[in-house]
Amino acid sequence: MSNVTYASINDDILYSLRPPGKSWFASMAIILTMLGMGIFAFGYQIRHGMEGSGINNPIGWGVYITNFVFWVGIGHAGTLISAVLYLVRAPFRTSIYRASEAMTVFAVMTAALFPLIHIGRVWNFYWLIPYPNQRLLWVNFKSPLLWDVFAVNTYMSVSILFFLVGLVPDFAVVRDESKGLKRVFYGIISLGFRGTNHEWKHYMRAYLLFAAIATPLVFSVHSIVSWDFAMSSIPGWHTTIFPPYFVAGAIFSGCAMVLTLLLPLRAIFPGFRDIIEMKDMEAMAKMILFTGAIVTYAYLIEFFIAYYSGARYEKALFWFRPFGDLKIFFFLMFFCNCISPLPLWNKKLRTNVYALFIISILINIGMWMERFNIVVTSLAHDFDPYAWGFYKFEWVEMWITIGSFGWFSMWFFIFVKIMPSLAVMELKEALNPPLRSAQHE
Amino acid sequence: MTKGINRRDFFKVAAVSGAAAAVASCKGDPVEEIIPMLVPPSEYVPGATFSFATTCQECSANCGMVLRTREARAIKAEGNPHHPINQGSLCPTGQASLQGMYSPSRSKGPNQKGKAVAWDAGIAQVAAKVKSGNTLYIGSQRSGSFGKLLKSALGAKSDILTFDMNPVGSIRKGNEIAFGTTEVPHYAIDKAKVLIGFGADFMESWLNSQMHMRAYSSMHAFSHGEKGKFVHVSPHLGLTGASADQWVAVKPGQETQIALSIANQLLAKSALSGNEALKSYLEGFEVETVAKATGISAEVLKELAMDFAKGGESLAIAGGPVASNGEGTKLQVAVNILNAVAGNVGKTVQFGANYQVGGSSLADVQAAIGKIAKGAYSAVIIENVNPAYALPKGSGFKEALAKAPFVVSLSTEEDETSALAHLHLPTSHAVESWGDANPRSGVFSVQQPAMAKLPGYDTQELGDLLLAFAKQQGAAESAASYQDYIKQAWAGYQKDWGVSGSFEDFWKASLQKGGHFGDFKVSGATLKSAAYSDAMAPKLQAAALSLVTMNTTMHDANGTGGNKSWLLEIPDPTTQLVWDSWMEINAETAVSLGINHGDLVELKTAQGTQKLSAYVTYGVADGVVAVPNGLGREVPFPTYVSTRNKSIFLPHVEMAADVTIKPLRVGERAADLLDFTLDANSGELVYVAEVKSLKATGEEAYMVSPNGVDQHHDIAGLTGEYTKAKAGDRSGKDRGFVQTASVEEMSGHGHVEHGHHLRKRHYTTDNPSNTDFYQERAADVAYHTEWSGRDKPVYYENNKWEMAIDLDRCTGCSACVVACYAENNIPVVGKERNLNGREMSWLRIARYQEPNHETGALETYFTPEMCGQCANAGCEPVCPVYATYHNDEGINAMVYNRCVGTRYCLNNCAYKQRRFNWRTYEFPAPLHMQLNPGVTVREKGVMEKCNFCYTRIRDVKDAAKDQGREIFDGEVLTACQQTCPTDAITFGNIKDPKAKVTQIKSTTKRGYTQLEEVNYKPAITYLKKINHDNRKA
Repeated sequence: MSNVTYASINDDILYSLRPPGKSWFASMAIILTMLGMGIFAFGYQIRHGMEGSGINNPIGWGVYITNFVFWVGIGHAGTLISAVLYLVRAPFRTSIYRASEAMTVFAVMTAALFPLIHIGRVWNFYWLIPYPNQRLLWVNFKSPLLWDVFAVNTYMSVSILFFLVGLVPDFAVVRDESKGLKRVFYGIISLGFRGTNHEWKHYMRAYLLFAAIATPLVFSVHSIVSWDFAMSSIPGWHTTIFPPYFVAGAIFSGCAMVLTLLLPLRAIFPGFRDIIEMKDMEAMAKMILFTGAIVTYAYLIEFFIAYYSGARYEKALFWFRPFGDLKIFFFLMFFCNCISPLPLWNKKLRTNVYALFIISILINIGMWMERFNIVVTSLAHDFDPYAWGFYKFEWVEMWITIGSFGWFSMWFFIFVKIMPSLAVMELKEALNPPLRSAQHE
Repeated sequence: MTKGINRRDFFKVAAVSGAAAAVASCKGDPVEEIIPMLVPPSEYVPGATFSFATTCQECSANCGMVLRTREARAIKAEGNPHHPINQGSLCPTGQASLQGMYSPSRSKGPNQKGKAVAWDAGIAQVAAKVKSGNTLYIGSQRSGSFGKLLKSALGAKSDILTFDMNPVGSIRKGNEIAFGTTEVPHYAIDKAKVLIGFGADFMESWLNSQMHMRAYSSMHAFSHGEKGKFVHVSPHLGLTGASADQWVAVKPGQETQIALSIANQLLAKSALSGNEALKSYLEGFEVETVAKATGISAEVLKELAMDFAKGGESLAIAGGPVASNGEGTKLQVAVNILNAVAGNVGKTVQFGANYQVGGSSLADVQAAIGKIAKGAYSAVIIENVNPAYALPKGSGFKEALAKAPFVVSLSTEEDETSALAHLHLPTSHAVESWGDANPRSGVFSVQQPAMAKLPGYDTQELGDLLLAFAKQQGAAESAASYQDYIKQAWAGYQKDWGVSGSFEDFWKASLQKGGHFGDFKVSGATLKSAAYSDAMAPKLQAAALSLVTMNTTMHDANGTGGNKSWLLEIPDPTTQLVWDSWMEINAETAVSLGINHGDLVELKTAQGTQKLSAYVTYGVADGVVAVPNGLGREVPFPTYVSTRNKSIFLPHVEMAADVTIKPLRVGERAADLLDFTLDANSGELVYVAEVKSLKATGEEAYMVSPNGVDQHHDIAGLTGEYTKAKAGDRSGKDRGFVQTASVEEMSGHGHVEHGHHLRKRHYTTDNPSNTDFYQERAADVAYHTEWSGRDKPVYYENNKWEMAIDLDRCTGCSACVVACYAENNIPVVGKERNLNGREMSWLRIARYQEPNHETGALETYFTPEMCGQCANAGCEPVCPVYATYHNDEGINAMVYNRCVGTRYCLNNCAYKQRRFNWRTYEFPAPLHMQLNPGVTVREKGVMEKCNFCYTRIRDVKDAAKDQGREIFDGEVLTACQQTCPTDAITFGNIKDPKAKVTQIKSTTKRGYTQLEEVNYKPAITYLKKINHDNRKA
């Protein structure tokens, strides 16, 4: 960052906040079409029932729950980077954390839709929330699904707060750089932050506190999501390995998603290239290698446990996954998550933008397949052979999945245009202060 | 009288205002009143179930039937427990008579080629034609008073035929040749210790499935360390063979030689051993000769003879379409010889019963067709039979009918034959009509209407119609209506039977009971020499590849079930296929022809070519293919929209109702493959044909089964090399869903196999040392006990409902599944939704096929699977909104209104017994009128499942409460239990120590729980299947 100055950071980052151009609007049109497809399909599903999705008699959860876990997983990297890495003072965090945090917030917002989309009578969704009512009906706190409601909501609230708290000084920068109504708007959301010492002292304390609060949630939310499966009795779900396995998988997919988003961002806004350096991307790649190894270990140990336990149904299921009717999903998962990150051991590839991007996309696909494997194949081949089933995709779930990407992208595109995509304040913190003497020497 | 409004008046007001509201609201509906009565009878209570005892007219067996009605509409058909023929059970076809009653293809009123006519005009037209010349009347077999009326209505010049495709005539003719009587005797299966069936599919269509299955269970079910033995000798296994202890797979025609070979072996020790002519005749059937001719090993033949002789009482039976191979009569004669040699005649073969089953010989029908074609009849009247569908093309029936000057159809539904009629005068359904029947000597059964005529359908009772014809003919019939006619006839019977008391009392008692029932006098018969003349010797040589068409549990050759959605939706038990016909082919034959399971094959016979789905199995003999009868109807029918083969990325939007009524052909008509050749002796149709060519088309068949094992092609044997060791579900029996034991084990002899050893390694929470682990829970229980003001925790108040299912009794007939559909308003979803795993059945008959560990032979097992109302259920804790919970009677209750549809309960059910409403299913009119008002019709997005017929429990509880008493054991019958012909299901209150279910559970050595290691503690205990020497068919 030798040629980076306070002023260039301001210029580079605030460049992204300029009024959107044609390509932005073109992309937004595509995104809104995708979202529209999702909304149409969801409307159809409300009117006609769940038949438009591939879920069926033994396989009660399919693409929707896969999407839910997928998006919650994506939502992990942001808070991990912003909170956990903040606490451990990892240097590569600064340049990428804002965008990843935004990604987290939007991913969790996307994920939170799916429990609603997947229930049969979505118009009664509020029954899942414990609220006082005349009929004295209460929710069942024994159900992992209810824990899920709380876990995801807590995580979403804390992520959003943490995200906004981090944005306060940056909003102030935008305010200072703009005029008119825009200035008023950013003035309000920056909460009148002026940058006094007194403010900075309290602000930094608050930020640290939030980081400390957010950190356990990074681990809790996906552990609880994994309990949706682990607390049940179904072979392939009922296993103690799930919480760490899910958390590692979530970080794995989250880091990949960060790469998927930041590499194009870096390409679109040339000024970002100086700030988001290749070594930061490389650090992400290393995280991917590390978590990928954990995930691979988890895959293998599941097979070993199935073999070693002697449990008949477990064994049959783990035989079914690589050799049964749904084996394509298993092999896609195994290739994308275990094989495709291996080139990253090579430093040249690890620092090559194209290789990184392709691998990150593969990992995204692989992690979706992993969740699909866990959700669907376990249900397709459980205790009663008579009730074994098969999954066939249907249009409504495909459209809703497309719509969920539209929903996520819509927020991200809006974010890029109204918020500083990189952390102005923290980037400046890493620079030498622009002292007068320094300029003269 | 008390002041103000009393309860009854309140209900009257409620009913009238409800009716008014209903009239105002639903205009398009043919039924406009909630309670379709202007002035209800004084004892009428809305919400209560009324039952009417009547007689089932779906086939000529004439079982006793009870029609349950609610709000004056028949909602369910059950067997009449007092009726000596069926004793309470009812077959799938009988239960589906309600779907005939509320059939979407019912004719709306009298019409002339679709143009409405008035009843008077129609009747006058027919009467004029009947007067003017000869009349042919083809109708269904109706015993009882009907025949006399028919004769007087049609006059002397008419020919009267009854039409039934089931080859009962061979039994009659065989008995005539062997014993000199054409009667169908009583085959006392229950008295035999060894039963050999030669093709007789007595669990499907042979004579009377209900009576014979009941008898079979009393002979074959394990009891006091013993059970009878049943050997099935046939080219096709079928449901009947699947229950057998041994299946001798033969080629068509070889059954006769085997029967004679057994007779030959037994003759020496028989009472008939002095009969030299018989001896010399049977000498032609030495074991070695027959073994060489049939390819059945001499050991097997010797074993058969030894078994047949050793038990004391024995019985051989023959018949059914598969055995009607052109020598069906010879087979019956041979079996008669066998029974005579074994001394069974008069003991297990009881003459004197004179069953009124079957119709006229098809030879007579053939002659009549010839006369129609020649123009010998001025009118042809066809009543509720469907020869245009059922007869093979070679009969020329349709062509002949086209030449007839005047054809009248009296059929209730629109069918293939009524479409050919000039005039269609639709008669009321049997459920709406009076009648009577005399199914065998001593049994007189009344048929009474259980409800008024279906609104919107302008029909007349058959009896009334015939009375009108008779009066037009000038016959002196004094009865004003057929009801009066029956009453007059019964007044005569009262005198004949010498029943004292007034006629009104007698009549009321008969109506209540369902008829007047007595025994018949058993007589024997002596074997005539014609039976062992050379003319009766088997000559048939089976073709290299022969086709047999068989009847199944749901469908027979008359095709009456071919347009009933229950019978199409519920899987055929042996193949588990739905909504289709199929071709069963032996695995070895399939390999030699290069045919794989699931291929679409082209089957060519002399008569026709059909494309069918190949179902590779060991349930059919090598060199034989089997195709089911009764499918391929061409009638208006609920058609379920399909999205099959459509892109997953493009929307297929259905905005209209998904069920439309239009012609839909389900499966293929097996009769199109058959020649119209008749058995030379009896004139019955030959159901066996030579296959000219059989080859795979290269396309994949659209073959749908809810059985997860078939669906996946997961049977190893079905994807590559076919060997018996590989075929079958690899994990079904080993997973302990069906457990077996041998008779020897149960009686303490022989090797005892304790299931698989892995089972021992699972953990139980019953271990006393584990209790400290539950201290917290114990504190919780203590708190709630105190809170409820009790001394000790009470988990179940008075009742805890539990069930025992005896797999040794279950034959897999699937009548229980039909009962469940009828009772619980279960929607029919069609073929595609079955393929996608969206079937809604609360109860399924799971079929597991497993190679025997010792012999390698493939064995077939059935087990009824339904929700076990687990005491430690997986579904209850995972529901986030308490939509499913455990009630104080041990029922895993389901609150539909509370369900949000997360489907977590479905996922966590180890038995996969929950069904999700993927959409709001439709009951196309008028089928919706069959819906049981006692059971909620579920909407899209909620979960449902078996609840042990909680409505029925509720009904009985209410009645008991009104009478201030406890519920008797056996008073609550679940729908499945009620209709089980073999009493495989026992249900009751486990807290009642005297209850039968408690007795069974506490004393049986055969009991086991499915998936015990999952520790869900279901309320259903299964009793092990007991096999002789650990083997079965």
